Amino acid sequence: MSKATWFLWNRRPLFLLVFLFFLALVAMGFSASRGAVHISLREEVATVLAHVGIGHPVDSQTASVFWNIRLPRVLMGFLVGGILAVSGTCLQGLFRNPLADPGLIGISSGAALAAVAVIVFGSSVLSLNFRQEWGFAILPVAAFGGALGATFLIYQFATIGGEVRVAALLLAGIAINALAGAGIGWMSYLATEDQLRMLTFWGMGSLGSSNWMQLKIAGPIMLAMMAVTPLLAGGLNALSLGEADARHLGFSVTRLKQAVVILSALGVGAAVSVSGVIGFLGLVAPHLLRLMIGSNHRWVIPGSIILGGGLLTLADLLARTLVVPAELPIGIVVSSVGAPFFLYLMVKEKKRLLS
Amino acid sequence: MLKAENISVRIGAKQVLRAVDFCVQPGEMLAVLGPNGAGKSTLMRVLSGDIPPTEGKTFYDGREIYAWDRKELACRRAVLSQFTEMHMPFRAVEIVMMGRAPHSRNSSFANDHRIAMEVMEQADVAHLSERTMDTLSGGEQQRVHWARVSAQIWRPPSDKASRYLLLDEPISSLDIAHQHSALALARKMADDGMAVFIILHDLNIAAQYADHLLFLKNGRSIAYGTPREVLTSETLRKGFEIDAIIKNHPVDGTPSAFIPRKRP
Repeated sequence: MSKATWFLWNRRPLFLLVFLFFLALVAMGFSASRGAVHISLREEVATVLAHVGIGHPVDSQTASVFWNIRLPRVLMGFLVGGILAVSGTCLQGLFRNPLADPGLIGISSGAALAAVAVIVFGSSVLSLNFRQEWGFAILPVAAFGGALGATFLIYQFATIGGEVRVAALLLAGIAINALAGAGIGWMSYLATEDQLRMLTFWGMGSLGSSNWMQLKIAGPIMLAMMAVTPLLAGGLNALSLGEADARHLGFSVTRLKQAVVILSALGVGAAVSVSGVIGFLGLVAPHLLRLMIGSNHRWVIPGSIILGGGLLTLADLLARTLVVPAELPIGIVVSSVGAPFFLYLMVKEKKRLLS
Repeated sequence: MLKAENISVRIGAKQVLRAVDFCVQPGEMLAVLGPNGAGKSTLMRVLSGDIPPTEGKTFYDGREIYAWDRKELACRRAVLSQFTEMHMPFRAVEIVMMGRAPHSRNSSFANDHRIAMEVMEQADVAHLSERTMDTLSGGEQQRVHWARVSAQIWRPPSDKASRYLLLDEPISSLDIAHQHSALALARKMADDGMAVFIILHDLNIAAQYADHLLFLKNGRSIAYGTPREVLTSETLRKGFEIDAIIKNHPVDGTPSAFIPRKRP
């Protein structure tokens, strides 16, 4: 193999990632153009440029729809999708199994339970003063706490004698999902009419409430996580050999595990606080990537951010346009594709994954 | 030098190791023998730093194992586990590249890749480099992991610091030809200046390749010395409760044990 071919051969995954990123951008542009008002790509670009001070804004109503409704929603969709997928990738690395998904093993519903509790009880428990001052942070913080608690519980349940058992992992996921579902169900009886509408949104997932305000709160957390997770790649690769082998390669396994648990709880908490529970994305995106570029976390981690973001952008497009003028909850759209995919994965790799 | 001083391990009420002492010099290969449950794997876990001994200490280069920086030690000492189970389909070359992880600060990707290719050649897995692990046979997988640990403690000619290789029954899933290739490779690594510590089940192979043997029974060292000193019918009677006849290997001249057929 010549030097140039070797150079290119070793960067195959990089080219694929760049290509996927390009596709994701196209998907975002296309998704933002569709809806009750049609916006052309040229109008989109002109509006963005006008907001950074270049050129003149287009027809103000189109620009306003694009800037205030579509753009934050599309950006939020990409961020949430990327975060859920990369959390899935990291959790799969932690549990050493490709079936771990933040929705499936109950982390998302743990976050949702905590968030719903805050919505229903927040007004009676927290003082008005506190709510006015910290209102913007209450939901994300509660969701983070719920996600962290759920992750911790699941890890305790799934680890038997230092080894993660997949059956125990999935059973713990079922139990925690059921428990959180029951908790949310109880609270729905105590909720007011308005709160009830919000609870439905948490249960099925939606990007419908995305706005710049939300993006400013949850966006930095999600971006920070996207920036940090690639640093875990080497450790997660080593961890796939087993805990002892990772230690022998000089990694602090305890610290690595803590980092994964806290980062995914942070990411999932932020994602759930803005979009409710969206399952299976953390399962589908990393799996598709592994089929394309293999298991190396150096590529799968950034790749799952890009692919997860792109896939959720497309799912959101479907959610907005399939039943016009109504809108489907995006969680339902994703699950309709993700759940069969999960079943397919189980049937195909029964022996390898469930042993 | 790898030095184990007075290693004792108690797990619950069970005394697994009792006051085991030995050392392995650079350039030397020490094989540990003994029946099942003798404490061989526990000794390996102590030497690799996985469990602290109840009493005693392990030294690398005269420095106590827990005084080493994790990464620094990983650049100098590699451990090949008996059994590595993987659930994600990594390619063989990616596994070998993982061995270079502790060097990430001081070594470029191209350099790591060159080393990976070199050790894969030595371990006879270069032709499998692009295959995923789940498509390889048990023996092929083990040779890939062998290449991984070689890559981990690969020594550039200019570097004189000692390297340590700990091998936990590395030939158990290999056929007889590959068993000998693997041990020849371990022998070569020792001859190149590495200190090799290896757990083996096959007495005769151990005597053929190792400089010294350590025989464990019930956590105690019952014989320690050259193959000729350790591989005697007396040790085997004490260790395995079998009556063996020791003959010289017709080609290598090393002691070989022949065990008479057991009659019910």
